[in-house]
Amino acid sequence: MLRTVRDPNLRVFVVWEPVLLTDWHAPGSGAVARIPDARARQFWDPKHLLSAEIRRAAQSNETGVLGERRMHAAVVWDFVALYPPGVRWTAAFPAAQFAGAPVVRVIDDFRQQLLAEGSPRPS
Amino acid sequence: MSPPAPPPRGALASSLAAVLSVLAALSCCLPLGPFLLAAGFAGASGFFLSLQPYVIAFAVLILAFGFAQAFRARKCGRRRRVFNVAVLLCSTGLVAAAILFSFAPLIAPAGQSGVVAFDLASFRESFNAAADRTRIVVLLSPT
Repeated sequence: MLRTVRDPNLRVFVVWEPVLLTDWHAPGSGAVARIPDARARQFWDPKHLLSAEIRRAAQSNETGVLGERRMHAAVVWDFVALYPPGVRWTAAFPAAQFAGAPVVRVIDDFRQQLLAEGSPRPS
Repeated sequence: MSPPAPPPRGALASSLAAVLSVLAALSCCLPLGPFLLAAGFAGASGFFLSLQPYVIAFAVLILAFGFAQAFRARKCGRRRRVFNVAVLLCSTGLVAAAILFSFAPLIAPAGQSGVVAFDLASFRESFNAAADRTRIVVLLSPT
């Protein structure tokens, strides 16, 4: 999907975390190769630190942080969120322009939002 | 004169089972994948990849059983068949290779620095450092 977005300034933060019984070690070459885009940075978060931070922020703004379509698991995973320029993470994890889970269910809406974000803005 | 003792089939069966287990575990990256796809087993690689640790553990157990069977056959005075021993040794080599392969060093995609251990403060710093750009955050399970 990232191939369709030509914006060279795009930044993608991919955070891998153990959720399933089979996640017994950090992602290997096979998993990492699923996101070959040079604009991506990949992380391994075995203690679910980011998930906890997102959950904490969602306590006050669930729809903004987790999106309209979300999963009600203890760990935030299979999750994607889009942040336009200007959004900063200060006290709490910021609300997204678009967020949702599972990825397979929200990917079409996400793509639309991303392409709209990448298109030139009217002045 | 008593009839000759039957060949120890347990060791051979264990070896073959171990080989099959390893092939299943490796099907994500061996040329076996296209063959399975051609045979209509699309998705087999992904399925076996997620089960890789368990399949390799099963292969090791089956191999141990194979060695035990072969050792028992010798203690019982039965002659070991060269073919069975060869299959057992080949299976051991294959399982060892599979275990080494699963711990192989990570090969990062071009332009990336590999997988970085997550640190909340530095992640937040990276997120804010790119505040003038569009950003995507994705949380995924490796399998």
